[in-house]
Amino acid sequence: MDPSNRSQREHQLVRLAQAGDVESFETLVKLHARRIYRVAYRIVENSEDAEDVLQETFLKAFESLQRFRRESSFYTWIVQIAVNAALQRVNQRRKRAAISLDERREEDNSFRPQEIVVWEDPETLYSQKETRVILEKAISSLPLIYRSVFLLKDVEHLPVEAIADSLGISVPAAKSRLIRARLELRESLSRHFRKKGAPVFSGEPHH
Amino acid sequence: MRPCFQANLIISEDRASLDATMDCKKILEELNLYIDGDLDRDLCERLEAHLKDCERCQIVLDTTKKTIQFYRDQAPLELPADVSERLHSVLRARWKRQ
Repeated sequence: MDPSNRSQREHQLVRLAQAGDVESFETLVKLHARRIYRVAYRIVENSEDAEDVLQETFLKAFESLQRFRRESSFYTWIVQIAVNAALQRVNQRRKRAAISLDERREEDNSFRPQEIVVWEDPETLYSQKETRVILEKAISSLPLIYRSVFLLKDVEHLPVEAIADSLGISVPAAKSRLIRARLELRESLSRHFRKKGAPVFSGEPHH
Repeated sequence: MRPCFQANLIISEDRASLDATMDCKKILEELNLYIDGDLDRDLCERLEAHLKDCERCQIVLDTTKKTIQFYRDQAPLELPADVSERLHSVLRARWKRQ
């Protein structure tokens, strides 16, 4: 189905669901549950909490469906609910573990690339499984404030404005977190994917 | 790909001389906009002129784009069947209460 037909169909499902048709809502759930679960899992990093977030997201969406004004896509709206629920869960977990909630001290966007070297194609260096582990480790070692922006923008293709809105930060802050996230991930992956024998450039700008 | 990216095909020597006005730090600041194709044409052309002469920035740009692509290309996490079933049961139980 082409994107405009899909979007029209989704609008129709939302209209019907808002008029009380639960089957249409259930179709919307089927369409988006996997993506919502994926976002939730990537934030909370365990399947139990991800499932709770998934349920909470669709229950909340159902209960506040009348407030959805169709200015954004249905997915953009529910993923914002999911992100909030997932972040809340992480914060609760940290509170229980007495870990500081204040990630702002980690917010230093002056990150500079250090490992500047061309990459080999990962397929020539690692098995698919090994590459997947490398990618997963790199992203889960990224502080949540950066990881969440990267996932929402680069994997889920959400507009920066919607990301800023759902994280309760300004658009410039979301953009600067995104650049930090991309550069930090690039840095981690460079350690694994660097081409043997290729020159490594200094991290200090030469201009 | 946005037209901005194609500018590197038409970089003239004059354009390359603009390189002096752009440094590596500026490239990093504008990296997001460039990667997302949201940079205005003038800045884009200056940035591409800089890239033409700066292998360091070319590598940072190229490996950053690859980083994003690797995560986009990852096989999506499946929704386990039991998780899906429980989700629908929870929702149906909620509708029954209406």
